[in-house]
Amino acid sequence: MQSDDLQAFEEFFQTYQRPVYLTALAITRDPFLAEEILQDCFVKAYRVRHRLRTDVSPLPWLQRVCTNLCYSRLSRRRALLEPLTDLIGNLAPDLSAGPDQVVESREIVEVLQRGIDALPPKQQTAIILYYLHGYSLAEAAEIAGCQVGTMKSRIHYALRALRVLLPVERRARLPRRARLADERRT
Amino acid sequence: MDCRRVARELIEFFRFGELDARSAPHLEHLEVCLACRQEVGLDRELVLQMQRALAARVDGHAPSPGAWLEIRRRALEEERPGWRQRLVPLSRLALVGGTAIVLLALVAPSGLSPFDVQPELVYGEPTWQNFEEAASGELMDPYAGRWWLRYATQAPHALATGSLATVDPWERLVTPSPRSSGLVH
Repeated sequence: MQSDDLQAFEEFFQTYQRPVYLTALAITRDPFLAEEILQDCFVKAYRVRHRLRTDVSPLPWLQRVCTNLCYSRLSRRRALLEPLTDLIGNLAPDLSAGPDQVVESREIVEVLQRGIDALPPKQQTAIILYYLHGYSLAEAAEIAGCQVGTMKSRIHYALRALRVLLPVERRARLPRRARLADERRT
Repeated sequence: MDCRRVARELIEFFRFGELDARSAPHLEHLEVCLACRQEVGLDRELVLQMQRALAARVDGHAPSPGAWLEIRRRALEEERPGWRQRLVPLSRLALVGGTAIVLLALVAPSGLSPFDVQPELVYGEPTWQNFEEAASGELMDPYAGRWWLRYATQAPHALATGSLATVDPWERLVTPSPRSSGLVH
């Protein structure tokens, strides 16, 4: 897609719009903002259409532009979010309720949503690319512009941070440092 | 086999789809170790719940049909040059024009070049005032005498008459005579 023909660009848009939009929505959780980012992303693509390579998929490039746009838009908003540590501190008493008050799966999902929001951008992008889109480690690493090992590491740290949000009785074998943090809170 | 190591490696195998023949000892250990089963099971559950959480973020959403129209409008708008883009050629033209004038002035024939002004021409040709000042011996302009001198020695002289007949810096009085040739000696 290197011609000036807008029709060709429309086909390009129809092909790649959904994954890009889903990434923006998963990061921002705001459909209107996600659509704005989608538009910005494709306007950028139109601007550099003569330089886009035709021998490789443009999706990694589009996804990278999309994630960059998301975090630049969210940078102000993110400052208002609670830091992850505070979030954990606030949630811990509720989650450590007795076994009779079993936390429903929906509630866990909601807790995890907030936990995902509070992750550092690189870790958040890593789990969205790997677990939401189902990209391979190599593909996710290409999109994020890092090594496969780095991508693994980001996923590992993201899951470790989220695991702390699970109810206490379900994370009995947490690493020692996390257990100590729990004891200090209770 | 060390429980911590088994659990850590198995979790990674599961997470990144790397279970293969090398995982057999780990899986054997898992069958007999409840703690490791819980550990790996917890991680599996976390991943499952996280995938649900991520899916819940995007389920039922899609870009609006107007998205393409907006992108098309913005793309077309970007292709139309704005007032700044229109000013750029004008400024370039002005720059090129200015450079051309300077170059022309530098390479032009000496008589035409504005930089080729001879110092003595600054003062111009002698004026009547120069003559009068020279005659009175009160040169207002220190260069005026020089001009007068140059004029008197180099210019083709006509017969000096009237008050000019007495004007001679060397005090050579030229007396008008009907027989004189009119040249100053």
